[in-house]
Amino acid sequence: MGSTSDVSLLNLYYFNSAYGPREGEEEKKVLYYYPSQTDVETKIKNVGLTEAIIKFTDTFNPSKPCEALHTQKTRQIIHQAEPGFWAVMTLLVPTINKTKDGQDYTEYQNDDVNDSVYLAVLKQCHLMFQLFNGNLTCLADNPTQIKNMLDQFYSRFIPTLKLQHSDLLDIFAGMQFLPLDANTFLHVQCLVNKVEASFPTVHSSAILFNDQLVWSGIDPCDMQLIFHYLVTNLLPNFLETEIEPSRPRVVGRYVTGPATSAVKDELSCSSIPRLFLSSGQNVYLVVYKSMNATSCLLLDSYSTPTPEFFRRLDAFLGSRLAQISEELAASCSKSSIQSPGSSSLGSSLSPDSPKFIYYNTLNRATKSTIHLDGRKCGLVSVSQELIKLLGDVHSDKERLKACSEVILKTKNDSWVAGKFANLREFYVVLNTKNANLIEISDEVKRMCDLHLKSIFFTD
Amino acid sequence: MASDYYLELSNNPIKFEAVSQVTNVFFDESNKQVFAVRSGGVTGVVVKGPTEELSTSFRMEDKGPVISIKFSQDQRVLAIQRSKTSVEFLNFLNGIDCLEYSQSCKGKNNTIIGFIWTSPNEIVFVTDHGIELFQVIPERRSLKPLKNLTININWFVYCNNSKLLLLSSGAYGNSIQPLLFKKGGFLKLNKFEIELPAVPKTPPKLCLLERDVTLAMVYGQACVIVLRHIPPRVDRGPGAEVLIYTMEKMLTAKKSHLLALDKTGRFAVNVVDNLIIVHHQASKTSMIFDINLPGETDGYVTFHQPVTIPLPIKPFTLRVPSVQVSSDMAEVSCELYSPNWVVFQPDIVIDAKLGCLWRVELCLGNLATVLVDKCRLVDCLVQRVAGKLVLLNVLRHLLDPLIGTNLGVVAEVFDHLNEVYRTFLEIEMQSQMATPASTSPFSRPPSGPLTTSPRAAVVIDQSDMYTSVFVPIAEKAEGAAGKFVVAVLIEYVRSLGDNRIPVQHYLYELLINTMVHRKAFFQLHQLLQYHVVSDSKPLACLLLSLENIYPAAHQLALDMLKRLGTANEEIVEVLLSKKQILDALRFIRGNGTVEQASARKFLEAARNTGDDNIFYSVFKFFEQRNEQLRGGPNFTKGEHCDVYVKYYEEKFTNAGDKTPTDITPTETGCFYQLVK
Repeated sequence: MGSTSDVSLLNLYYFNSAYGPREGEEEKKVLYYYPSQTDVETKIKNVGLTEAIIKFTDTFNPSKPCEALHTQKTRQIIHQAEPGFWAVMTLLVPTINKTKDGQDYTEYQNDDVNDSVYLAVLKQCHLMFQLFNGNLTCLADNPTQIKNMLDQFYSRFIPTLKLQHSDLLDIFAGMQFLPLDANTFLHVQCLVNKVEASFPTVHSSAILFNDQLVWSGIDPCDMQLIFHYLVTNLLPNFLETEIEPSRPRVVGRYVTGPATSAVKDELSCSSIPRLFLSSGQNVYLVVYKSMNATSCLLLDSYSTPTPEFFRRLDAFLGSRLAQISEELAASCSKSSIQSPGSSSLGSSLSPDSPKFIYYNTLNRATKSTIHLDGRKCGLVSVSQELIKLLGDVHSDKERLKACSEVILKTKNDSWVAGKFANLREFYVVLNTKNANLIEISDEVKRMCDLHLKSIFFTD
Repeated sequence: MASDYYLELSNNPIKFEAVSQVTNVFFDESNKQVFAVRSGGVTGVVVKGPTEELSTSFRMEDKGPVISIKFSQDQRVLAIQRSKTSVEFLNFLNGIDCLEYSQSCKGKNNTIIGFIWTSPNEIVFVTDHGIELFQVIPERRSLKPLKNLTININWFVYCNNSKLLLLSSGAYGNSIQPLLFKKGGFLKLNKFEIELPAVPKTPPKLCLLERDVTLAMVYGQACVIVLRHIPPRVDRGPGAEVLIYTMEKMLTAKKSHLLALDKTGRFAVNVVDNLIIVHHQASKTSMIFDINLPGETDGYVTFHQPVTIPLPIKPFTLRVPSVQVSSDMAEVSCELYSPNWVVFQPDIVIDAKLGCLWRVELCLGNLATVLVDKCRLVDCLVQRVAGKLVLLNVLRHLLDPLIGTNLGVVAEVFDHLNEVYRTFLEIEMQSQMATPASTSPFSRPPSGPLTTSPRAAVVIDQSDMYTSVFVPIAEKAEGAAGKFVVAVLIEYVRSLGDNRIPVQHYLYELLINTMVHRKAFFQLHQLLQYHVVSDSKPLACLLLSLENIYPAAHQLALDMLKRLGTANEEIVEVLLSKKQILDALRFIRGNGTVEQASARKFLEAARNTGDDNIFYSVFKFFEQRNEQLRGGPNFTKGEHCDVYVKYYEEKFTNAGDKTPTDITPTETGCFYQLVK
């Protein structure tokens, strides 16, 4: 086998046909184009092609616009982000260079690119943009500002995309909840209540422990985005600065907001990110971390938080959050000892043990023993091929009834099963050699009993 | 202002003839009787007690001025001391017996300081050289010596509740010999010395006086309450203090508490409902101390500040016959903290000039408004006999969403209440099961401090909190207030959980309803997700009813029914109502209840879907079940399935032997086969 290439981004652009209705004004339609150094001619050509495809396919199914365009070498994902505003992403299909009869040729792995996964990625991109910038529709009169905002956002966001590691989890875009006993959870909840009562400008808040959500009072739609922003972007970056040896020993620190030492500085307070919630509200995002616990506070934006506010919050939260963090750590280590599944979880690193992904549509909870962390770094415990297969099982699910089951066997004698019931999805990867369907079905059932014993999941 | 006091004098004072040239007044602490002796008894002795039975009047011969006069506890013998060496007795068997009999103290040179009835027929003489215990035999009009003890005595203090007698000896008077009286004798307890603030160099003189020492029962323990007048020093301002020695196990006295008075002058001590009350004459105020409240401690002695600011007793007006118009009553306000006041234990104040005896009473409601620190207030109220209603009022006020009390305070208050609650449950548990504490489910959390606090007078349990506090405040929970109410409820559930007290379902229901009212569904979801709320069928039903406003509630309800393990029928009902007929079939197949399943219910639901395929599948499923069960596909009469058999025939057999087109025979056929 020769050299291979992963899926990669060819271009990503936004356009709105309404901005350049006349001939010769095509350039005005393009609101954003990556890569930016592309010449105008190409931009206009590509946008025009997409427009044409949308128009053309519209005649066949006006209710559902075209979502993907397959070519041998590329895959184009089209998403109407907001009425009139289209976001388009073109991917280069992964390739394998092979030699046959002494001749080199490139094989395009079209089947490896799952439309649902990348459509989800594109949608997530725009939602993230909206979270930080609000709706484009509101700015429709001001294309210059739209251009600036898109440019500012995507120039920072595109490098973090990690398209080659996009998979089923991107479709779910779920949140990992920390498994916890009721009393510890109540302690967290009481801390949250105290913070919100003591600081009335706090609109709502959430608590994370490491990369897992413990409590959220934020609307789930927004929380989902904030969660991904925190886990894949903000916290890993913060961790890097935290490792610096020069760091002074303090109980808690602001991840967004002023550095603890520089709370006095008026300027640093104004650099807090502002978020646009799905409810239309505009809030400040203040993230505070103490040990492994992170408190994520949304502040009403009618007044800019003062240095005094940050000082008070720091004094209030620092030791309390550290205490909760210790309690959470203790509770986690306790539950991992007691949990009957601990043996299988402990050995989940070995490639042959059964793995699973769980997703609950209703509270967007996900759990995966396939992915070793939630940061989309490609740390996975099964082969890429199987992960891609999971995406396909999910796409197939759309055609099935609410309550169903799919079991597949791969060429390498691995098994992939998907079970769907009660608005939940449960995917299992098994590496059992020489097994038959009944054995696999029993094994899936055993895993359901083990991991989902406290929920209703018909079989 | 109504809250300018927290102590008052009893409404109906005992009125007696005031002290005058001809009238002497005596008070017996043991029987709480006032004796007004007119002209040595010739013109009458009027006895006023707290009840009718303990009140009487009689005449007796004047044999000289009376020094002390007391009835035995059964009111059958009256003891009168008129001289320093003897006590006379009068029998009151059936009315007064005129024949007096007398008993002198043993030692020739001894002087009787006083006498005490220690049991119905036993009396002890306290002389300056020791004590002498006698048995009184009224029938023979004589006394029999029982026991005596030789010791130099300056003065004595006796408490009838504890039967404890303290004898002061030594040159300074601070060497105390406690005696515990039992029938027929007494026990000598360990001698102890009361610390003196300053010991005079020479010559030794009596420093500890009777009037500064009080003996009372506080929280079930005998306490020696000593007033200490600290001479002004450089390092601190002048100020008296109260030192308390507790009689541990009725054996040894141990210095245990120090109350800071920060005042000088004349003081008097009462004990009301286990609170130590110190009246200060100069400022005409009283302070209250609760030795059960936490205070600074050096490991041995706990230092206490007053529970709250010193305040005067509520003004008291006496209704007296008016001078002008005989039928009218005039109101005369009494002088409080008057020099004529004499204070007796535990809670008695006598104004000898006015001829009034009051009991000092607490106004807890006012105390609640004066005491700012709510945690201390709750700790204090929990120990008061009449604290419950006041406490519930305080809580209702504290948790009023419009007040917006700091949640930290709320948390602390709940923890204090529930610690008391848990202790109560533990004791109850032990008394019911008679099992060792270690096996009790309410075993103390390891982190909890070991409290030695006495059993609380007031226990606020979950149902009290629910009916008297949470329901009223939840009714006010509109808008932002709802958030506070939810926070308060969660805090309470948290506190119960920390104290290992199982939470009652009505609290959960209130919590859920409040959250639903606020539309805090995602938060509710998380609460259920973490099993904060215990599963129950009523709760599952509540969730089902919420499906219309929060779709995920349906899933939560099904999960809960599943976890209950006893609600399989309900699960089937829910699935059928959602037209998830095949899911319901899978479910009963999975839990092995196919044989008991009601075919009629499934067929009815299947027909209602209007989907022929489903009806066909369900019908075939049950035919096959019948085959397995009874060897034939037919339904029994009792199953009432005729109408569906007919429907089936109409749909699928009448027009030839036709099966629904898009159902392949294998799909339906295999369905039941897989079960076996």
